[in-house]
Amino acid sequence: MTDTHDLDALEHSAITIVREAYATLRPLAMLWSMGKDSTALLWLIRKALFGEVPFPLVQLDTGLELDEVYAFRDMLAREWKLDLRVELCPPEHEMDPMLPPATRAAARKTEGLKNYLQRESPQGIIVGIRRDEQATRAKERIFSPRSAGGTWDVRTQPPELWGYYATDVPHGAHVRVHPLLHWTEIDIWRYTKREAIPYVDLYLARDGMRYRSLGEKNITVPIRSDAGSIDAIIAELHATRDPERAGRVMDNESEDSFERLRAAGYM
Amino acid sequence: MNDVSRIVVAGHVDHGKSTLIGRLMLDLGLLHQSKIDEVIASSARRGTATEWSYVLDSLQEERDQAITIDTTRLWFTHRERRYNIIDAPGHRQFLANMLSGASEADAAILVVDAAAGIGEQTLRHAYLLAFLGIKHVIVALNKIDLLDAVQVRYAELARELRAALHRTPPAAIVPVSASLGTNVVARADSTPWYAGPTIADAIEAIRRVPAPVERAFRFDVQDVYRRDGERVLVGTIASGAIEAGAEAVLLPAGVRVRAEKLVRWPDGDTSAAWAGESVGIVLDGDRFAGRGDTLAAWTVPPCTAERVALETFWLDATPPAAGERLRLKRGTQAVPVVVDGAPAIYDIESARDADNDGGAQHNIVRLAVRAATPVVFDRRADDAHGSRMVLLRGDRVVAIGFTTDALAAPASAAAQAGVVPVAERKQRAGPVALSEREERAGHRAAIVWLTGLSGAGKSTIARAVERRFFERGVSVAVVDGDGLRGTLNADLGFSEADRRESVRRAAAVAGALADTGHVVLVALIAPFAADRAAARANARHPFFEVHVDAPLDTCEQRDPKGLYRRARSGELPAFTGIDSPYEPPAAPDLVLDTANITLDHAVDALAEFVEERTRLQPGADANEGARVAPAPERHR
Repeated sequence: MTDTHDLDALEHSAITIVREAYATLRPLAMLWSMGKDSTALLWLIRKALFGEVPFPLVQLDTGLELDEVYAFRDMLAREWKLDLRVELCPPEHEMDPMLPPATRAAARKTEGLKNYLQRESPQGIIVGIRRDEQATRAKERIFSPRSAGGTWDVRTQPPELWGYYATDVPHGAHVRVHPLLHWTEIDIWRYTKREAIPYVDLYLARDGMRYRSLGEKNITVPIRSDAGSIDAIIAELHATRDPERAGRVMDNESEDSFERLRAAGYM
Repeated sequence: MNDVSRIVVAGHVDHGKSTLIGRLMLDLGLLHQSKIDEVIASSARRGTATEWSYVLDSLQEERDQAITIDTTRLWFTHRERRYNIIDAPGHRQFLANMLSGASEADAAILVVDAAAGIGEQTLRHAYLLAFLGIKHVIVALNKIDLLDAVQVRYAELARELRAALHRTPPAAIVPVSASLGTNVVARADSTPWYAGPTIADAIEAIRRVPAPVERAFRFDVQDVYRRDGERVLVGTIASGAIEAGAEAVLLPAGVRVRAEKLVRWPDGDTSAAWAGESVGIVLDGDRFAGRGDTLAAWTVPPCTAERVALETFWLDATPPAAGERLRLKRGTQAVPVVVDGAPAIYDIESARDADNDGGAQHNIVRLAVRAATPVVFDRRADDAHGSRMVLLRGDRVVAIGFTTDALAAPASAAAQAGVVPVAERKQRAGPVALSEREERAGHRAAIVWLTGLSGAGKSTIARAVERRFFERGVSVAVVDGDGLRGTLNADLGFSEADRRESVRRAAAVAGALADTGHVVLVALIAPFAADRAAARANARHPFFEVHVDAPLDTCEQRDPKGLYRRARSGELPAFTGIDSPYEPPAAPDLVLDTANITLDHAVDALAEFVEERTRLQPGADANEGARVAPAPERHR
């Protein structure tokens, strides 16, 4: 497991994508959830831009993140001199009542993001999603153009090949940029270890339980695990066939709940 | 850990691509029970038999219509090897999505419905896999459970498929039933006549296609960052490699530069960087550069031209029209272009040129474009990687493909002495493209300049190599300084200005010969480094400087034409080495020390050197450019 030469290719490609976004999409912003993926991405952005993060980091805040997550956010924002923007999400009672309960809770972030988009009109938003997380994310592009309302139309996605990305944005629309799209959960952990990237210690097991994926308090549950180190997490992931987002209630409420969230603009 | 091998699964709609992948996952034991339950429940809800394609077809619309709309990816590890399966949609409407998935693949599984036979999209996908450069193709002959005389039908279809796939002969043609799991992972009892691999066996032979480190150096500038008072050019090395301190050419400006430092964060300076790696490059003299510029090996530069020939796969419903304005993206360049003349359409399904432009969509379109500013690119025959491009109409991608050749400019200003602007330094007009000549000759055109003192052996070596090449069928020509003195250069003396002019004329003659596909050996003293540098900078072809290096006293002892004796006696004024200086090359591509090696050795060394660098096969043609300014081979 010490050979990480396959990670180099992923790293170089992510750096290339970040530089492409920074060169072609202004203003640019990044969504930071403080989870392992977007924090690893933040590190990659610093690598790409020689130690700096010269654009805002947006946290879509429902007020329901775990305490450790908020503490981690404030610590890293200070240490890495981040331009942190906390975007307060509208309350749950304003969401579409037709959605299942946990999906409704998650939809708050979509609305928070829409508010940010409307107010700041960024051309590009960097997001740390990965194809292997969830089946509909597997259909994504690295540069994914969104309509003015932020919606995703999977049928009319532009072709994307040989590193020629959709960097031309119609007025009022924006592009979601996904530098980690080809990474897997195990890649993220191996990279986090190799680069000594900070992470919230809720990912490590305490009393036989750990968080595999970090979401809001009310819609995320920890899994049974004894993994007390990154190596142990990697070993656990090699053995398991449970999906990563099994602890995310909203993904599993109905067959298409996540697809409906994403079509409406969820990450 | 080993690299992930990426496999695209392609084929006609409904031939069972997603089902095959779902089945492969199931039989390899990679599906979680919850996923299996979900697929069974989802199939039951739609009133179908268990549909393993639901593992991949995750969108509501896909499940309802039983098609794949966009590419999906799955990762798995099997027998210690890692794979990334890309499910490409088979419906013609979603070809752009199929290409997006296939463009990154190392290999392909082409799924063909054995009952329905070869479908329209089977041919199109097969053609596109070859077009994209995917060489490893496995055919899954699916739904054999629906056939009566399986063995006979298999033989028949295998023959048809081999003919259809002549551009990329399949590695295996596997008879399978994806829905039953026949020959997917386990070998089936129902096909005892089939001795070949199962799908799971066949994918084990797939390897990731390596980054093109052996090719000539290419680096498309993404952006320039100001850092600690320096300009840092950032980008990803497309091919080849660069070392700190190495020389390169900055295009389209055409200036020789030195990569003073290679930088990364937080590691600081690095000594070398290779194809596939992102890096920051600081040039000497804080030279100005910007997004869209290309740094390239100066020994094997790419083409720079305003008129470019393209071979594209046309995606859009509206064909290109002569005079239409489009945008060409090549590397990090995005240049407005005008379609120059009527495009030619090749219909993939009928394998014929189409006579009207109605059928452009989803077929091959060859066209010429005229750009507002010079485009930097490789010709597809030289380097497929550096020839990849896309065409946009407004902000829509309408075609993807390759740059195939540099075309002559409609009119260009007369070249002046010294370095000709790059934009004007292109192949002359003519109905026969250089690439066609090179293809017929079986080698690249090139200029090999032998420089050295009189009597060092330049002409002798050049003539011997000429004879050897001629016997091997190489188009070869020698431009000899002494010969030119009696003809083209008869009006010139030996002043510095006249010597410069004689070098310029010899270079022009060599260039004209190379334009017609020749390997040109120039044997000329060319004593001044600046004149040789100008000849190299103006060359439209690969240019190699060979120092035929013998010390003055050796040459003077040889004195084959009695020239040194006459110079010493004052009969020949301004004789190089006696009373006119010789500036030896600072960075020759090859050194032949004829004082210490035999003529045969020198001839062998030069012949081998030239042969290697004029080879046409991709991968071997430009390897000397992989290291910028390599240490010259020295034959002493």
